[in-house]
Amino acid sequence: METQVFKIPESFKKDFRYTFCPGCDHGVAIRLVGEVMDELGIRENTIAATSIGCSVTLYDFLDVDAIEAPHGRALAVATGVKRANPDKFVFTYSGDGDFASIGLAESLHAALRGESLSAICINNTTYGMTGGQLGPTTLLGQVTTTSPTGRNVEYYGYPIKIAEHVALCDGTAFSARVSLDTIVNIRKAKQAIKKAFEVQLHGLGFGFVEILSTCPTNWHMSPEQAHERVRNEMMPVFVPGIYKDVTEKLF
Amino acid sequence: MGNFKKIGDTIENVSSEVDMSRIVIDSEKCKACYLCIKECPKHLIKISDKTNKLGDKIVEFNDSQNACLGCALCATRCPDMAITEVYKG
Repeated sequence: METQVFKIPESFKKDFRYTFCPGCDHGVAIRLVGEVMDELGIRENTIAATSIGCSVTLYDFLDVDAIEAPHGRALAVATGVKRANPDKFVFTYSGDGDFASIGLAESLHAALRGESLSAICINNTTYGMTGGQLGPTTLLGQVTTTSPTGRNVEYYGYPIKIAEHVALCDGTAFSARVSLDTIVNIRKAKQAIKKAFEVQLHGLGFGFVEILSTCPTNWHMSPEQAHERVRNEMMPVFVPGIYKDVTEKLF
Repeated sequence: MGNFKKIGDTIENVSSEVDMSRIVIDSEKCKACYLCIKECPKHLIKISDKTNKLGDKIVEFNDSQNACLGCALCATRCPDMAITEVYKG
């Protein structure tokens, strides 16, 4: 008797096809969101607010109601959606440029207000969709199209560590940084996404997950090399871990 | 007793009577990133000569020795969900 151990999550649209570049970890991140929604049984009750960048196409794949809030306003729009419909599950899905540069005010103030929302931020250290420009999370020394000699502190300053900043906000219930470079880390990422969703379902506050992802096209690397870069260059700077978890005190 | 196979029967003959682990690949979803090839502990996934509509040389699953574990590591890694189903026998 054979048992099915893997299937496309029920939360996905029929006949979807990802439009990301080959090897892009956005696909894994969205699949994990779909799997978590299946496990929590919340798809019918979910409203997503999407951003600008490669993450914008979320609503082409997930079978949920979604509202487009480009240029960093995802969490501002999500705040309105959640306050008007407190019984709905509301989450945002954005990239690092959207969350931590264009929309840093909206993002951090949603956390400071302790909005009952879940936010997912994909950190690939560059602006992927627009051609690989220097972003808020670009590593020191990293060559991009707008930092051709590499990011240096004197001219560009330091990269932002988003999960730590969100964890410092008093309204935050859960803040974690995860990676998708290995199977083990993919499983940990799913647990973190589930926790960030559950804190909203229990009304504990703001749930946040920063996901270290790859951009093989703009890094000019093969998908496998891109994962090695995440391990060797990104993870020592953006250290994965749980930075705040209020549920530890509750249970 | 008639159902028992004699010693010396090939694996191929026996395998038809039991459900074996296997994966299903959607060739139109595969974008030829080849991340799954390294993940398979039994090295059952290889680059094929077949191409999809976009002209990518897609991967193929070749398990003539029924070595697949049904571990779903390949499907967990695949960023495009081109490995749509995994069965554990």
